[in-house]
Amino acid sequence: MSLWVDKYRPRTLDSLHYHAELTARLRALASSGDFPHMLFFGPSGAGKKTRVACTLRELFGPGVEKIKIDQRVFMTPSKRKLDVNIVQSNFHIEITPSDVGMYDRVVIQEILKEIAQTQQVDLNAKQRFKVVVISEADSLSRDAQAALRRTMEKYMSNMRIILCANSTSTLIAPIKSRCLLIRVAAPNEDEMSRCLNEVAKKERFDLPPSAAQEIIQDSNGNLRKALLVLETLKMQSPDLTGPLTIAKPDWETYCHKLADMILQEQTPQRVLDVRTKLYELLAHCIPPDVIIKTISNRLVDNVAEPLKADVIHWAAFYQVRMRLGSKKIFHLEAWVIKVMSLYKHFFYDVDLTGDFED
Amino acid sequence: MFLKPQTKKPEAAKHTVDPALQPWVEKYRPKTIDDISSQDHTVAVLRKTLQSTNLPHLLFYGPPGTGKTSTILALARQLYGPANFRNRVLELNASDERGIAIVRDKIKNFARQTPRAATASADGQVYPCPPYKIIILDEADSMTQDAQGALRRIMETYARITRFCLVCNYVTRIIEPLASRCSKFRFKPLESTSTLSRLSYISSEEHVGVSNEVLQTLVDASGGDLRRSITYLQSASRLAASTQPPTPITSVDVLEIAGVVPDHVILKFASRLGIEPSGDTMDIDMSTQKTGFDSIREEVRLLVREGYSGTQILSQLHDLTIMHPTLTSRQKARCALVFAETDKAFCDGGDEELWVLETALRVHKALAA
Amino acid sequence: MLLSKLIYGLFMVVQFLAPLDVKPKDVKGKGKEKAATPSFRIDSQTDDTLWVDIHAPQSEEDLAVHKKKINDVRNWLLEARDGGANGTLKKYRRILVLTGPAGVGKTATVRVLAKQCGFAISEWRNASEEFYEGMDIDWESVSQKFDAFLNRALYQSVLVRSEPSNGSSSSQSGPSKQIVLVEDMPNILHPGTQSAFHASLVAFLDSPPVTPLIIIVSDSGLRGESREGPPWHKEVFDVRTILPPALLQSPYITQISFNPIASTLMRKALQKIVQAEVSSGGSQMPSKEDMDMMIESSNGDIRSALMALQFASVINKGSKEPVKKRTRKGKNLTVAIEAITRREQSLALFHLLGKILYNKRKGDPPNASSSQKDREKEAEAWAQIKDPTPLPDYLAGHNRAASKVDIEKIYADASVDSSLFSLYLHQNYVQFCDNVDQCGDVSEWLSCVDASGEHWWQHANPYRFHLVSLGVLHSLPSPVTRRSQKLYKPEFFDELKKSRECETAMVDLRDWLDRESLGENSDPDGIPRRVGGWTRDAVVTELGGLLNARLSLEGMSYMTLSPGKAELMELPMIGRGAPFATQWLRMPFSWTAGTGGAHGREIEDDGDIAVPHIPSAEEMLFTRRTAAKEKDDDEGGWLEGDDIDEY
Repeated sequence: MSLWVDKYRPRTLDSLHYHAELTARLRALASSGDFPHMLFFGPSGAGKKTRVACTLRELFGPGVEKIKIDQRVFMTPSKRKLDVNIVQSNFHIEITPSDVGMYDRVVIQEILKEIAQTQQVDLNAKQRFKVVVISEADSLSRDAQAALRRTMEKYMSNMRIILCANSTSTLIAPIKSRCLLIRVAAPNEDEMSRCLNEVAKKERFDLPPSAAQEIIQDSNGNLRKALLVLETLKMQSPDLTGPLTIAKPDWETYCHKLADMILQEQTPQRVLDVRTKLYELLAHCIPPDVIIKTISNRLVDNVAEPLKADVIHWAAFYQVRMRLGSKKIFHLEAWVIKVMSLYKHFFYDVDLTGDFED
Repeated sequence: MFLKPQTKKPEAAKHTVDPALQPWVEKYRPKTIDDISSQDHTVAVLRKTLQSTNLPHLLFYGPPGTGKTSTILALARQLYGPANFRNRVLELNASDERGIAIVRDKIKNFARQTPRAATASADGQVYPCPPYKIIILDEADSMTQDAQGALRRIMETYARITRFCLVCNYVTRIIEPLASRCSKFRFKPLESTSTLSRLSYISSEEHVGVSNEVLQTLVDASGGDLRRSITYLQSASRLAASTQPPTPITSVDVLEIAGVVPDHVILKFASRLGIEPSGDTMDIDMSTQKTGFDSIREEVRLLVREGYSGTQILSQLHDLTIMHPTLTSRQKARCALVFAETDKAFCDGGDEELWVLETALRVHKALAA
Repeated sequence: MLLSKLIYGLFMVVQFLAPLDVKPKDVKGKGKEKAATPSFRIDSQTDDTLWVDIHAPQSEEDLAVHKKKINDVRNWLLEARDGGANGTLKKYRRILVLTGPAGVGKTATVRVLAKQCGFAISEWRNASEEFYEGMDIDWESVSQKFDAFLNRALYQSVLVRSEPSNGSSSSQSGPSKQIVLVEDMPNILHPGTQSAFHASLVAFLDSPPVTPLIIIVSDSGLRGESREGPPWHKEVFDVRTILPPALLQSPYITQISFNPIASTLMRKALQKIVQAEVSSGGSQMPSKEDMDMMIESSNGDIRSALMALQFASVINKGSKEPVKKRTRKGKNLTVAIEAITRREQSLALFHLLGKILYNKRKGDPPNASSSQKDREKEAEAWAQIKDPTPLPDYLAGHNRAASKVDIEKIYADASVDSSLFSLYLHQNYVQFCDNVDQCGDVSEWLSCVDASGEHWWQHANPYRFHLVSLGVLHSLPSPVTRRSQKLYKPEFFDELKKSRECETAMVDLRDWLDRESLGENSDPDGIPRRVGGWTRDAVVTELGGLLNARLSLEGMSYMTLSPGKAELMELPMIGRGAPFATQWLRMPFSWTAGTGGAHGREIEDDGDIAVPHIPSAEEMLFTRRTAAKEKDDDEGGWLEGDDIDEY
């Protein structure tokens, strides 16, 4: 199954569609022979990984696309065996911390040490170093980050690290200061429309500007999402004309219904109903942060102006609680009830909205 | 095959870094404690210990990039000289396994060895070479409580032949019994003049053409962290050198490397929240009108789409607010509270978009009140 | 494991009670066989063996299992042998899966009935211990061994490999038929082993029907790890783990679930054994009360009841004092049995929840049903308790009457840790609130305590239990409105299990996408692989729409996609061999509206009904799928299904 978003992804720096300045910079770095550790950051779907892939190709040539997957066994400190699929080429290796869960430190340490002790075998290799790509670096545990910290300096001679993250807030300062920061902003509307049209051209159909506009509005700067939506739409109504409705994903509709339930009724019974729904969302692996953001976005569209800031305030408050605690449902539920309570009082009696201030 | 270590080529290029590729942070680490920037008091005390060659257990703490590790390494080098450095000094940091088992084995084993007789120095210089070893525990605040507890005993038992130096950012994360056994040295954030002089020294050594104005930007962007500013300088010079033809480093480059949000973006954002660019008297009615919830949300959304990091936005907004000429102290105090809470949230894993929005709304409210 | 704990418990108590009589030789009892040998040797010869082994059922009459279940198993065995009434059923009787809690006689039933039907048992033994000690055997070898074993069993239909394990199963002479019994699984929680195991089963079904296979699964429940972990960290161990999803509905597989043993049946069985012991000399008949207590506290686990019984007789036997002193010992016995069974703990949790949630305070209106005398008594008791000093005006909203709950006492008695306790409170608090504001206060406390003290450099907050209890007490209305609230077990673990399943399916889908693009990679103009592959979040939140659209182009929706079918079909739009993709898509959202607080399973404090199995202190978040013990009629009858009624 090939998705357009995978099929038409640019493979070389030359074929990238936007951020020309950044592209020039990457090309310069790749050819300088003095390639630093790098940290790519920016919103989801902005093209970070695409740029990483292109940079790798620029560094090593097409050989870097010859990938193999090995299963490796790691031993955790508690003597537990850990199977991890490791994706690698002759020139680079990829690690996704979320696949290893709480044992990311062990895996990263092992892999980095091994690479550091290995010389490049391929005599034709253009570079003397290998690259370790750590995607979703923002989910690295503190332990793993601490382990990375010194290793990055120590093994500079035959290894470079490329980190990929949506947000840099969770990365510790020593890591950030050891990397060249590469910010990949989301494409603007023109750039997105160019990319969409490019894909349409390759698929040999015309993309009506109205449809493109619709998709761009829906995707909020996330090019990956835009391309997925384009393909879905094309599949559902091949001519892409007339009024298009972009179907929301199930989970999003679900979140919206949930938001509406919160505003319809504020009773203990409703609390139980909402809890069931929240459990359902969690059971479908929808990230709790996404749940709280989606519901609050829907809520602020439907409450009176003075309440909006409060909805956001408590969403932010309980979002952090979720990170600190272990039982997501407690915090989601506490937030929902808070909103119910605020909403009820806003309409029926005293104004409680100021209670978080000062 | 990629992962299998090569057949043992003993000591072949054992992490010897090509000096051209070496991080400047390492390359320009101070060689003697007199080279340490800005920590006069600490250096004065340590110089005394160098003369008397008696050293207490040490605890260095302070913000990152203030020279803690550099100081102890320079001190040890001056005490032992290159010949004895290897067998007298053990350096462990957080990337080494440092659980309780390691404390019990590796650290204890090293601690209880009687120091070997000092070998004559090859470079002809005379080093004090006192009859004890030094164990440096870098990033000691990331050691577990258990491991720290185990350390306590070792410190007492082998105090005669082994001195410890704990290096950390947060002294509060060192358990009290350990901290009380050490002489504590606090490392202050560097003054901008000393950072500046160090940077210009490095840039002249490396033949990097860089104006004073750019250096000043570097210092501002790194907030007293010398390591950060040196790293930025190196990255910037890399970028500048790799373009064809090579261009001089500009302030814009530096800001981009440091991830700083451009001033005009922050100013626009701030004015949405009711912080007028400067000078003018605040027109609260006006600002409330054009700063409804939706417009703030839209502004935040655009900011996040640009990919700026939340912490960076926060710190720049903070500087802007606190230094603002016309906001009242009460307004600033309210804002400061908001910034503090948001900073904590970011440390605890707060979602960037949500928290930038939250900060914006609350700052807006604080200023309108 | 339960067994060894029990034995250890026995030992401690015995040492405590009768230090002069007992000379332990080996304190560590492990597993059935080992545990039997050391122990307390007093005077009789038979004492060195556990009654559990001596009195293992030899015939159908000995089985304390309900008739219906016995018949089910027998019919299956007979059909597997002869093909049922018209001889056609034989090919469907390939795999029998027996599920149920531990100690309800699953294995015993199989052994007895197999013997009766003329089957010889060939049993799979796991080398799991070597594996866990970190020897150089990796999981593959274990699962390969299993595969080899199955194959061997298949083709050696005549050769008998059964080694009589503990004297109970003896192969008949010249058995015509063989049956394979798998009780000890390979380490199935490991995904690699699991898929290998599943593959073995599928291969087994594909091969010609020679030897039937019986798999016995003791529901060990789920060790609820509330922190997210990697998928192999899941500790769910039930029939869904063991059988591949495609096979769950397969006609070749029969599932029979065993329920906890009904008390009448258990009493009969125990009495028979006691009688045998008494007549063989030495043992004394335990009192009826003791017997009742043992039966009740065993939660339908006959093995545990038998252990308790043997223990009781040991104590009684040891006492040669006059009658007067015996009664004291009798009391000790009660204490001892309570100590080794979990009854007290379970009750404690129930009372604990009640105490907190009913939030009784001074000045509550008296219970309508209480007598005048009781009321007076209560008033007297209350008079002794001082009112708290009123709070200053600005805190007046927090004034509460003196509470009847002594938090320190509760804490001392509590058998659960704060984390599990908070889950129970969370499940139940809403029914006790009158409005959302009260709900809000309670939930804020739960949230606050859950978020406190999780960081690695801090000590965990030691006051969590106090905080959560006091916080909830403070927030609940006073008095609590009585609306015949029922207490439920937390849904949390079921949901956690569901999300683990979903996560596994999602990761499978992602890996499959990865491999797909890798396969096309050999072509230089093919699709470049996504660096780092798809992220989980992107798969969950963005990919669903497109996959569904593609599926619907295939003329079906994921709602109608039947399990088992998708794996076999070729879906040109999705790609070949995309079982994972479809499995994930087959997890639609449930839209059913909640109905009251009744999503959890009810806990009841009724003499006849078993209280949920509550974890011991060292097993932090351990819940166990507990079946309620249905009210037994004279026949010891069963209600179908081992789940507690969903209300």
